[in-house]
Amino acid sequence: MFVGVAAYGRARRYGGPALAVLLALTLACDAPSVPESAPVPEPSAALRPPEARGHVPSDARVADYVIDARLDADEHQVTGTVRITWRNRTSRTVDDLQLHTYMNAFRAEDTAWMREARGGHRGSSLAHEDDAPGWGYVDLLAVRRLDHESPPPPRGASELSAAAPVQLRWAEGEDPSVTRVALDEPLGPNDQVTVELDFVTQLPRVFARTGYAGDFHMLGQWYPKIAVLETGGWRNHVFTLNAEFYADFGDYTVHLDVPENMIVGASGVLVEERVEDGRKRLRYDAEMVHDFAWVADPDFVEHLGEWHGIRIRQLLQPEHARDAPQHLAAQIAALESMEARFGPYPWSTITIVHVPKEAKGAGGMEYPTLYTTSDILARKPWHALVGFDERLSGVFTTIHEFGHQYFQGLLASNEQRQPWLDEGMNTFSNGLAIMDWTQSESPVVARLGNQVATVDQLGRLTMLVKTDLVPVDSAAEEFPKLTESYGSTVYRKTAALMQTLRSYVGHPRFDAALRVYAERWRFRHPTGDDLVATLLEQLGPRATLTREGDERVELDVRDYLDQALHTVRRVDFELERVQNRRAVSSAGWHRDEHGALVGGEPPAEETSIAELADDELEGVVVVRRKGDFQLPVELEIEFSDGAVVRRWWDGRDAYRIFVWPGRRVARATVDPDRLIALESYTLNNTRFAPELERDDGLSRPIGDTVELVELALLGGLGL
Amino acid sequence: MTALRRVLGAPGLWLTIAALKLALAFVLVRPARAVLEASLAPFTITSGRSALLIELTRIIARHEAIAAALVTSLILTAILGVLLWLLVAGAVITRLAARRSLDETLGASLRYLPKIALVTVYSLIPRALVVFNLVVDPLGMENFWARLIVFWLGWTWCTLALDRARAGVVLRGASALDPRPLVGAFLEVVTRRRGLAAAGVMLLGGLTMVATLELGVWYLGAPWVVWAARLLAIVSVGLALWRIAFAVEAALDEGARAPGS
Ligand SMILES: [Zn+2]
Repeated sequence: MFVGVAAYGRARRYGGPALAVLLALTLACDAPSVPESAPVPEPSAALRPPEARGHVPSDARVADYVIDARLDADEHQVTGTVRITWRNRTSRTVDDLQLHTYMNAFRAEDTAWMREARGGHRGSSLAHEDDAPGWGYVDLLAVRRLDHESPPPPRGASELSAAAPVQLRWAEGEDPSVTRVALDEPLGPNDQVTVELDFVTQLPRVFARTGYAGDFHMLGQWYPKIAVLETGGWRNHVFTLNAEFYADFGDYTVHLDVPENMIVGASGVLVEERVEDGRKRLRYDAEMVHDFAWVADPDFVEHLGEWHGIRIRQLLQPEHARDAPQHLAAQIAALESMEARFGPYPWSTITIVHVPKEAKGAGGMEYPTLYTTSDILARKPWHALVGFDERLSGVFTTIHEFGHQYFQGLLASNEQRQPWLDEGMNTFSNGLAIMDWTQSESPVVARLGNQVATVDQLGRLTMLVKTDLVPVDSAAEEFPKLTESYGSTVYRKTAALMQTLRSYVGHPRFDAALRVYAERWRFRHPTGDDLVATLLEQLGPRATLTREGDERVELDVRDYLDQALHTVRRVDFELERVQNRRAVSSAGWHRDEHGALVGGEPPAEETSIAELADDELEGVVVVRRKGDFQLPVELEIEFSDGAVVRRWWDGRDAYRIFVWPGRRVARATVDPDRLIALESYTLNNTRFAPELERDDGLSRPIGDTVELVELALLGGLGL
Repeated sequence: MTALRRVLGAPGLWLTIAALKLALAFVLVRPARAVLEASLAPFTITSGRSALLIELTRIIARHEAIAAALVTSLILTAILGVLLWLLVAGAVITRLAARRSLDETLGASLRYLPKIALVTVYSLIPRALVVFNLVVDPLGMENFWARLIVFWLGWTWCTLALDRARAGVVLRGASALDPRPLVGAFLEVVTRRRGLAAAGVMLLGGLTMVATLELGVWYLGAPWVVWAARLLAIVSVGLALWRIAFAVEAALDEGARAPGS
């Protein structure tokens, strides 16, 4: 299992240009091949054994599904029946059931989703040169209630469509992505109902998560799904561009009928497989999940791995089969990190799908126990010449999408209402996973020659723009596509604000607090308030930042989270002044003990600061809070004798003056340990006293490099 | 006289061109560097040598003019580089052919400039094809290294032929308007052993350029690296002169063989 990790590590060690050229030549001659993997049997149950799965609360099971679905691969259509057994776990009585009919978002130009997307999603577009219209929809054909006095029906396709149902009426909402089914009688607290729906799903051409591309079929958001009933009522959001999903946990039994040549991957475990009449019939069971997705493609190549009884199955496109060990290594690293930090992964399988290049829009998406990743950037021979390497493409996607098994798969927050709880907290956890994997506090994820980029550095760069338009704690629709603020705010800023808090309160303390959150809210629907409450409870309302004996400066945790989550305030500190000035002398007239004026020495002569002795001057540092985010910050001051001191400032006022009588200041640095991941513009954080002529650290090396390129260009090689 | 001896016999020529090149690079980078300094002042970056590109990106995100200044500097250099070698070509060929006074050498630069420019324009056609093959790969040579080798061979061939045609224009009074001498030069450089030697020197020149860039990539920020690049720039001028000296020898040989010369 760890062979993959070792090989990956080897390929990523840099031995300088000569070795790089050799490596490039070897890579260039290497033909693609499918790496061998040991057979790993399908687990017998969808959940891991009780001792490995962690706590699975029985009352979290709300909605069970039995689905029977047939794929017409030529028409890219699924016809099926879904039987939903739903328990009312609230104190409300309801007279309707609310359904998500997500696929209808792709039905026409004027759905809420399409209106916001204007035909595009992460660079993919629905418009296509072939003749097929490419729209997707889910059409309900019949809805009936089964007799809920009788015990729940046994599972199995043959058992579907039980006798004597009551036909129910239904209607699409204002947007077709929501549908309301009227119940024939109200449903009270703790009641349960079983409804059966016949549906036809037309898949769209893949451009946003789901659909087909040639023979490849990605089935996400493909069946009518019951919404979540909360104490306040149904939470059935209209499917919009950034609004992802929200659902209750339950068990799924899914019967699939696909063309015989299809290789299928799905949530859960495969429990049955039969081939007859050119069709393949499969049955999958998934337990305690809140969605079920599957994928079918005749071209898939399979690669298997295993970690502590979890079967890791990759379905790859043949041209990328060679990357399987690297994805496996990343998957295992993610499992190790996430289990240690956030508790056991409860399911027995994880399926990693590699989508074909025509279906890029389906890549990088998470579903329970199944996710799609992205391709590792193909290494070009010249990459070695310039020392280019990265572990952002493909590998990072694998870590990110697996992370969602926790941040939304287990901690099933409402992705539409608070997308930061899954995308943002997940991005934060991905940073930790990479730290754990590389055993480095600042892991390098990209290189070019002797230049490196760490997770932290890239994160700060992406936050330079568009993070001050919409607060982090906003609903998905509150990030209009036109602001381009969704990614940098929801993903990056959330990660940065958590990272900053972690640095301020101390890593062990923060990690323990987050662990409590993860354990407490497993298989639940935590909200932002739940996370904040857990953090406050575990961290306490204040964190002392100063050392014993220093003027006390504390971080007000609630205030910090308030500003970071609910405002668009920016963090930016600047050194307004770093200088030395002449100290006040005793020259002039003073009264002695008898009241007589004595002294009368002339004022000190104008002397340049550089010439004054240390005891004749005082060092002055003025730090300014240029951003409107109020946050304590640490300062490091270096004196001309080489001594270094640190001071905290509470950051409340607009500026603060520090004075050191009798000491000559050489340099000051704000946030010397780079604790504030929220501060993206850090170029104004270090300043030297003016009498110490200092190179700015960037103009000379960059100027030299440009001059070097110019000398190469002027080589006289031919024109 | 051998080609190398011709170059070593003209140290003034070598050093003058090298000095021009160093001065050009030095001057052309100053405005961009000044913009960078002004944008950063009065602060200092202390994040270390391995984060220079990250810091550059950060400051460009705030001050986009820096990117414009850097790109302008590079484009200007590329253009002036071509003009520099066009301008000195007449002088180089004249001086490598025989010891001449400063006046004569400088005069040759200007006198032959239009003709040399014209031959150069002709030579752009095969060069375009060579570049096209590298970038677009119409022949479907999937292996990058094979394509790079083909590019280099093609580029070398074009360069040697151009050197030879220019030498013909300067030393033999060949017509610049008539493309046939250039076509002849293409044939000549692949049929004479001298062509092979010149190609070898050209390869050394190419490697010098690659070495310069590689130093920049792997030792970005090291204080000595610009000095190493300057040293390599002086070497590369010598190599370019050596290469041209082969064309000069060929033109002089042709003169010696031709009846009535
Ligand atoms: Zn995500």
